[in-house]
Amino acid sequence: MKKPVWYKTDVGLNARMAITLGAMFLLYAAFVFFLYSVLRGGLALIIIIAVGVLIFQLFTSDKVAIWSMGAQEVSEQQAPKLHAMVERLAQQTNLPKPKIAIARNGAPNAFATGRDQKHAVICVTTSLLSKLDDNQLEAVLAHEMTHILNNDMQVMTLIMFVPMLAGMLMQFLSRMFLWGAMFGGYGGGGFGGGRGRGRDNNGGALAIMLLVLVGSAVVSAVSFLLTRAFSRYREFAADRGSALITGAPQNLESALMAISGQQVGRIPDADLRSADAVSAFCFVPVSNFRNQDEFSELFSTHPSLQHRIERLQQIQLRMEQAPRIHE
Amino acid sequence: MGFFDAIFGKQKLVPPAKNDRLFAISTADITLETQEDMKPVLSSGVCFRGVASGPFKQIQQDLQNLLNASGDLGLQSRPFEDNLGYKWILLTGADFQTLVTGMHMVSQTLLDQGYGEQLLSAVFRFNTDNDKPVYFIYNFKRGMYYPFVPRPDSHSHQRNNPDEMRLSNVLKNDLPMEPEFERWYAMWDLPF
Repeated sequence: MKKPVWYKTDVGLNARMAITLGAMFLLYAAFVFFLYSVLRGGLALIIIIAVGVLIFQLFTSDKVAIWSMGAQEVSEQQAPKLHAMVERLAQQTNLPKPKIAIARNGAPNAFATGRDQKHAVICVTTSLLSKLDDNQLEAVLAHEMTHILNNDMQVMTLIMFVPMLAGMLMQFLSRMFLWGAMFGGYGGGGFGGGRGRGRDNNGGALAIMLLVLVGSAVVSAVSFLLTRAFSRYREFAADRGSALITGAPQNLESALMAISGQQVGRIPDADLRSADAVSAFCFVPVSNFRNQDEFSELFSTHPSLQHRIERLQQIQLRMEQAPRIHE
Repeated sequence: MGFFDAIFGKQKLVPPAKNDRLFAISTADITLETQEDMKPVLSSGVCFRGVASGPFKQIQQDLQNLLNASGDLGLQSRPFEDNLGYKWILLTGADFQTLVTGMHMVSQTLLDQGYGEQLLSAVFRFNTDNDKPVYFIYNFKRGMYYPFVPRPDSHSHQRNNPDEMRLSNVLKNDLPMEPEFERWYAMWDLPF
């Protein structure tokens, strides 16, 4: 397909996604290998349970997410404008039109979920609808459509599989230890499989359980950071998709700004002259508080407002310069 | 801040006004006219505060003399006080270059007379191809510009943030652009 002249593959972003995925794959493979080497046959049972949970999660994701937000699906009569917008975007992205739900909620927010593109749901909150104008709303919907287009829900569920497995093991084992401490003895050490024999059965099982517990904890911690990083890259990709679909990155930029809870990084409506006495003469630059975000960003699913705007502006600049780009 | 300033508590409360980067708007003008189909409006203003009416009259007089002395630039100045109590020197010029030069002269005069701390902003106006106003505000304390696009025919004081962000991005090589969005204060109901 012919791309517009300003289109440029985000090599950096793709590379980072690939590296993160690679690191996750290595970590997960090592963990599964580790589990197999200590648990042998017991591993199959755990994996069957984990896969079951995973499939259940994927298939109920739309209902659970909508239920937990207290959202309701809305018909075309109830929300004609929203339906019209989503329909246009669906046509443009060649996706089946997703269902639309609205949640009565104080926080401006939107998300997309569903087990596949045919069962996708886009949910928006009432406060999002009231805070954004039509262009900004369309930009946010285009961001969510890109999530659907990129199968982000499925990809994220998939990469969460091993962390979930580790989490399950941790919960299960720590409970076993608790019971063990309460009732004395370790109840045959279920996981031992055929390894422990004779008198040292109990001691061996205990050592294995401890080993698995520690291994699971390490994998949980590292995979937490990796999956969060990966999630942030998917957000950048969805921002990018919104910019390409709407052709106006500034709409998403200002929408993100409008719905961010913080004052830092937001264009004020206040007059310079009224702010003059306080802020304009304020000695400590607000930017000094910015850097605190850098560290907490490591632990969050979404990149910081500042980073998202920076990236959108890069895309926008290329769009603006399109008439002067010669291939 | 020097050692003795620290000893005697002469810390400057207000960062010094910088007017040297005011001229950058001339470069931006070219980009705006060629890429955005915008036209500069040939009137602009310097905004400052807290000057008593006696000295203000004196400033006006000095300024007018200066403008007259510079002869055939065709600059006209006019004092103005807005409803927030801030003083303005409004300028009109024959072309944009002259106007920018004039704005620098006005701010330099105020600086020379020791009113640097009172200097707030310089404002230039452009019109889009369908005559909607786009303002560029120069903050003397920061020495940086930022765009201000009020939504037209709204008295509810709403601004067009998408356009502002787009323009700042387009002009980021031409203008020293204020990087902190939270400092992009509006200036409502401008007299030009």
